[in-house]
Amino acid sequence: MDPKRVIIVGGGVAGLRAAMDLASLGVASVLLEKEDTPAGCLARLKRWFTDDACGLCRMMDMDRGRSVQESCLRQSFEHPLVEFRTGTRAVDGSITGDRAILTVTRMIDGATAEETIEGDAVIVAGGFDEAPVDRLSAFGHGRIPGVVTALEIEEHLSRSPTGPLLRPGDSRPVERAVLLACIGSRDDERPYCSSACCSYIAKIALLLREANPSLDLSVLMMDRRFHGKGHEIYGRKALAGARVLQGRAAAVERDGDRLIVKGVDGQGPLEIAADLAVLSGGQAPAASELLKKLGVEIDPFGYPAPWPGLELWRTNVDRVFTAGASRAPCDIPQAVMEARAAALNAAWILGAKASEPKRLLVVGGGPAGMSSALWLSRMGHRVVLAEERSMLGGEALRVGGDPAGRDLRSEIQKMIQKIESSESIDLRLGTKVAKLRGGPIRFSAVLEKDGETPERMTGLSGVIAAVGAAVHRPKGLIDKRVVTLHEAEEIFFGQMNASVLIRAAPGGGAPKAWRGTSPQAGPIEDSTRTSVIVFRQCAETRNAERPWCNRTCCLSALRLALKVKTERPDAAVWILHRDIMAPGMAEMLYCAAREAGVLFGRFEEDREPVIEEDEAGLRVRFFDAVLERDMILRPGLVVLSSGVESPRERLADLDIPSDETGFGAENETKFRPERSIRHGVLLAGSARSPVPVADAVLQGAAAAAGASVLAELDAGRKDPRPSSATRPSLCAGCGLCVESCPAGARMLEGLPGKAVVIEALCQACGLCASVCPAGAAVISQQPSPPSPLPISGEGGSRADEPDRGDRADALDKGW
Amino acid sequence: MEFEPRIVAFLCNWCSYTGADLAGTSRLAVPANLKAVRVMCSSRVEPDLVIKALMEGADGVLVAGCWPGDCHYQRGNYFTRRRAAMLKALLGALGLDPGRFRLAWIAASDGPRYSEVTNAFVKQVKELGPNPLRKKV
Repeated sequence: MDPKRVIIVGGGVAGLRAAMDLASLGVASVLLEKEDTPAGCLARLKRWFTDDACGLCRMMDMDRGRSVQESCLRQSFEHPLVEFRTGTRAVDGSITGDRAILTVTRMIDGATAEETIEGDAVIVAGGFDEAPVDRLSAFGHGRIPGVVTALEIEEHLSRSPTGPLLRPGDSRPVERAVLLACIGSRDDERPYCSSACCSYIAKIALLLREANPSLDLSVLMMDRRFHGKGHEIYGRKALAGARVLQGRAAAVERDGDRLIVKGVDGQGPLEIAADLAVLSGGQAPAASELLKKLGVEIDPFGYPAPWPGLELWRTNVDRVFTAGASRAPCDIPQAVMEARAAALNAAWILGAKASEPKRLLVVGGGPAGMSSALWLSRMGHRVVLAEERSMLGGEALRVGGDPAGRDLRSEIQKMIQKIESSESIDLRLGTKVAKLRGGPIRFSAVLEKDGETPERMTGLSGVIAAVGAAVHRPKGLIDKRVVTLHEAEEIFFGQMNASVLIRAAPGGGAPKAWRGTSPQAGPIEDSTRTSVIVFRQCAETRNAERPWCNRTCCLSALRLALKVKTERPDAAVWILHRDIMAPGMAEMLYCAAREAGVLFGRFEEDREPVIEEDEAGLRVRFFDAVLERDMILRPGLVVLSSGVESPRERLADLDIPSDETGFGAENETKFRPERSIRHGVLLAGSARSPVPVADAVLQGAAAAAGASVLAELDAGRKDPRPSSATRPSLCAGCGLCVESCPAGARMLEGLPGKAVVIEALCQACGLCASVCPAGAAVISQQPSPPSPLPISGEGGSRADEPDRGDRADALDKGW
Repeated sequence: MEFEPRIVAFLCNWCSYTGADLAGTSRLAVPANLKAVRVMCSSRVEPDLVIKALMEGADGVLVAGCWPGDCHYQRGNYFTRRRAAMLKALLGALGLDPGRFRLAWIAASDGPRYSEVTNAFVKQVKELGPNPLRKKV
């Protein structure tokens, strides 16, 4: 019988990642790609946002043990355990019992050949399609020169890296450009948000500016959804100097050689003249038909219906997993993490086990840490799970619900029970990890528990840092009528009676539609309502001091607002925001809140709402940036959405580097998002960047996949390949090689220190050999000792040796 | 006969070697004067190797790596950049024209750039003439 294998549909970033992870765990796969080259849409991109570099190949290292090729992924992909089929399209499929059967088509000599492929599980990573042609065409795409999609302009710019900025098609110089977001997203037909485009067009802005530094640039976007890790800082930098209008485009018209963009923003209709209009077309699922045929439930937009559990990558069909943009609109790191989680899950249901049980440390017992521990134990490893508090669950215990409507509390309880009953998880509650020493494969840690002698633990293959982030308590929490979002969760989902806190106004009366109808000058006061709740978003966050979006507050505020509005339809619920961060399918929650009558007031960063108290009670005064008027609200309850503190100190305790915002710094922002700069440490959950609970669980699983791969390397599951070595007699122990090693494969050992190589990790790049001042670091082609040459017959005579002249001649000819 | 320089090109595996490959598959003109040596990272090329090539008679040495920020090993090409600056100064002291050495960033998708850079470098070395250190036979 053939070995079990996984069918992966889509050879983009998610598909490649899944295939490599499966291979590292010893599971074969067949990878189907409809194009002739791997990397999907990434092959069309020049570079990626937040680090502005190309680093596709970085997806590979550390997992290269099982002889994956060593070359650029834009060109090809090869691996002995992966059958990579290009030009192959999956058209039909079914799951029968434990078998997955897919029908694929392939063009051979101009004719379509059909074939059946069998496997034991399917990972659908089909990526996305751009906005449909008719939608783009409505904005002049394909009809008017100078109207291009964001992907097209990036391809155009990467083909002409230098020289003036000329527009594609008619090569006219571009002096004025306008970027239009949400073309084919967040509208009637596709009401969801495509999640990655705001940051993507920020990158396009940078690329355009690079090509023409004096470019007059306008951006028309509804919200600035820079919600990912590092996106807030990147977005600000990229759009500095550009005119950012919060609105959306309605049409692009031709005006001679130029373009007129018509649209609307808060102040009313607007027109922008430009030479170039870039349409950001968003994402549409590319694999809905296949998913449907496999029996997966599909939502109205073609994405798989959310799995009721916290495993985002799962579907209602046991052996079908999804990852990347065919699961939900996403950016690269999200696709990478989903693929890692899906691969680990698929490997597990196929019965793959760690080739040798290893010991790993998980720091933090929140959703991310619990997920990591569970997955590692399922793979057969022994896990030490250290949690400082006296119970598992972390901050997730205080969150009442999930944006997709999952039963969060019972899911978290289920995880806690599984961990408590697991035999391979060594649960240490009330325990602090005080020190973390060493590197991958040879970590040691000191565990401290009150009243006990510290315990030193050695021989840890890897460490998962899921330390989470503490809730930030902003200024202005004057009394219990002003609360943080976490406290609000407890009010609405806990024992407290919310109506006590919601002011009952005298008189009452039906709410009036008054927005924008009040003719008088001066502030508008909302006094017609019976009771008022105000959610004040971005409290002491997304500012210079704490420059990140917390990703959770808008979702929680929308969810809570909707709950209040459903239970008390007469209440006035205000969400005061700068941008509503409801990326992806969470946009539907935003739509639902608007429909339910939740009121939204947008304020500018430099004119923040003022919460004060006067004789009549609480008063919130803010300048509404859309109405351009001062507003006064009289709430009974104010909720401050202030997000979390950065985990800088906690990470520093463990010698884990953090980035400029204080969250864990990744080794590579796009392709190794779960890996810390410190080798052998994996980041998950809010220690990396603030995330909702389900994403924390996803990241926990992705980190577990990374740690499993590391453990496989530790177990020696790798093919022989060149490795670096040290000639101890020459080594002075200066440590230059340790510092320069990109894989963390070198360390100093003994006294006086000599450099040693952890061969399992060595990438044989040669950096150590070129920095070593003593020539002690060498790359050996053959890790095994050389064997004597088989000598037979007679030796040659001196006459056979070429003389000097011959040699020089040979050199000449050879050259 | 016109002087045809002999040039050693150290190409980084991840970007420049692939770029060179792309130049070939795109049928772009690439000079025949280059002898490509594939290295895992441009920073593998320590100054010793460049000097050795020149001492042994190469007329020029090209080192090509990933664009800053793109390095597979993340910081490798930054090491190269620093070394190249030092090496340029050093070559003068050895009596060699610094123009015989060039560091270039060539991405994997930069086929045309590979062709451009190599042609320009060959032209430059041609103007400098044969390497004075090259032993006449």
